[in-house]
Amino acid sequence: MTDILGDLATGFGHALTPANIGWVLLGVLVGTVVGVLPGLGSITAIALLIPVAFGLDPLSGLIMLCGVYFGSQYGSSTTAILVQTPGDMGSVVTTIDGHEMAKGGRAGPALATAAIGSFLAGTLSVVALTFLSPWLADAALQLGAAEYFLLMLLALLLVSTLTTGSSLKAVISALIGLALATVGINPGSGVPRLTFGSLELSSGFDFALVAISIFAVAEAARVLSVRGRSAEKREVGRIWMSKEDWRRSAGPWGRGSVVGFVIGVMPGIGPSLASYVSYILEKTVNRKHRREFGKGAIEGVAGPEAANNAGVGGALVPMFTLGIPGSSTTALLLFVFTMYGLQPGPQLLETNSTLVFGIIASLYIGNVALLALNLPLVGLFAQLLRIPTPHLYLGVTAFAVLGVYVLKFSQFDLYVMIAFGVLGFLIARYGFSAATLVLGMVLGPLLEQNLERALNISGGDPAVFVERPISRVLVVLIVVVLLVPLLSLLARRRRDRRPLVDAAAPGSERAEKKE
Amino acid sequence: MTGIESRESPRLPLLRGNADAVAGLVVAAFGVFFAVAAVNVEASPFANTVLEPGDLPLVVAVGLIVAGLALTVQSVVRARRRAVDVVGAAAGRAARADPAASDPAGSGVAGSGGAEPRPRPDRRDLLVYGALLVGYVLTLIPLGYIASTFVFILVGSMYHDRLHLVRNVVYAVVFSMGVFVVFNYALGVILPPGVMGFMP
Repeated sequence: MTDILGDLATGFGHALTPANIGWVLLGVLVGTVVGVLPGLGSITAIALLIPVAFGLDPLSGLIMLCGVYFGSQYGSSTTAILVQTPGDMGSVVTTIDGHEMAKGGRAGPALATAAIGSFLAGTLSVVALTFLSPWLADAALQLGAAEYFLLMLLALLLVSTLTTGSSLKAVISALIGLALATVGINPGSGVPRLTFGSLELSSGFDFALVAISIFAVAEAARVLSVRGRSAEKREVGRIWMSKEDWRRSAGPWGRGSVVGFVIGVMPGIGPSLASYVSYILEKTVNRKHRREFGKGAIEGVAGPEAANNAGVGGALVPMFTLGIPGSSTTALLLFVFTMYGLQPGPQLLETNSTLVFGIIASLYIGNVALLALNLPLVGLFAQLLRIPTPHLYLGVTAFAVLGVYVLKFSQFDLYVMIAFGVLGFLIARYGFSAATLVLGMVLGPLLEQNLERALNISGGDPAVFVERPISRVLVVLIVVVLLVPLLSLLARRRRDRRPLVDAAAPGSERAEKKE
Repeated sequence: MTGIESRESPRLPLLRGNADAVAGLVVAAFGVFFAVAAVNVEASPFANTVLEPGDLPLVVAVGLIVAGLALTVQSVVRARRRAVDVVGAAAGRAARADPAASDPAGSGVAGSGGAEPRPRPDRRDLLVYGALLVGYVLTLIPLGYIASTFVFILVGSMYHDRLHLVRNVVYAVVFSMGVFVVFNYALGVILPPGVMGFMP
């Protein structure tokens, strides 16, 4: 403990130079701005600043890029709330209640709870990263491919059964997401799947493309096609959070921080799943306001946003300690480490503790910078809603087209965007779940990869999924999640039938009245 | 007429006006298409492969077929039950005569799971938006980013707000030029110049 504190003090000594503070501020600012643009998430933001980073010494460069990572996570939630356009996977869940709050004139509190939650969770996750890294890395290594497969299956089932609306529709949405994830070259065998001879489809569907189309294009189509709605003025409402908002956000911030960090630590899963799990957790524990979920519950923004940012800190644990990226963004950061001639992993902490603790110290500073930069901007961002609706959503569409185009500079992607835009419109129109579809799409490859790995290790024996205590617990949980809705459905049906039978019974009061 | 008798009525809404039932069938049909495509996926070239490339898509396809049919059955059953519940009442007759009347959300008779009623989209507005988007996508490269974006935003905003020509033109110019300049010169992301190729 004393060693860690000593190293951290040294890290602060290196990070708190005027130049490094400037780099972290630049990183946070660029990350936030790029994150706000639809389709340009943390990966793009980091990629944009890699050339700048190479001109700097490793500590300054990595400090700046970590600032970009945190900033872009926050920036993407801003558009998720204001115009239902998530910049990346972590803020998809925020669209559900965040955008409903914005529509109801509560964009300010939604943005503020996201900013404060991000700050608190980000800081807590860095504290945890500082002190718990070695222990958590060991724990994460205890999970094998079979456990990861079961864990992802459980997450998918939980999201499908506990989201707002019809569970059956959520399951269908998740299955469509899984189906989309299987398109492209199968990584295990190199065989092209479901590409129908198209070269463009061989690399599969990009997550950003699908998310932009399903959320941004579909939302623009919906808003601009409702007569009278496109001309009406959108209310900005109060900017700051009320006492009630603070009270209702505090719990979700805390729970989201813990959940986000723990899930973020799991290699390969990263923060993308954290926000979903936090949303489900909030909906489950919050009995008082459960009915508000999906209609603008502040807990539905506070929890997932905290989890998302805590997940970012969590994802850095396997990267620093094991050299395993927890997400695609940390994979890019890992690449930057290697370009500097550094090898993240167990050795890094011993051979280059100054650098590691310098970066960790910069994360504390980055979180403060994120709050200092973004909290005053909440009012300004909320003013975006004052833009007349047609102009706002035509601009969103133009950004969506731009975001999809710059992914691969491909015209084909733009046609795919239109197709997914139509799908997104139908999904929203008929009560299916776009967020669950996106989760299915993101988890699909990981699910298959771990299933394949587990079966390869066991020689095709499915007993591998019940061999170890952890996997047995997960199987039991999966069975419970599957059975609970079925049992409650049967119970409800029984309850519903009773009055009908009573009514139909000869001589019953209700039957007589009808006669 | 009792509730039991109404269950045998031939005029109960099954698929007509029942969006969820139709959606379920569409999902199931997509599942069948996906299953056929999955079966035709090549086998892995490696001899010791445990999980073939087509296995997961096939499982997903079967899931889609089952879930799609389940949605159809569920919504038909709910529609019948609802008809049974309202039988004999004037509201029930009205609902049968005009299924949309009992389904303000337009989301199907059942299964929307408490989804909030959504206003119906105007078909003409939707078609105009779709046509504008398709035109924008088709002209993005030949006309270039600035010109195609300018036309898209100007035509779109004029369609929705004819009274503010100057404001619409200024918005279209500032948006298209501003984004082009930021991306091309600040972020180093080169956008198609098209007819504005003379710009530095």
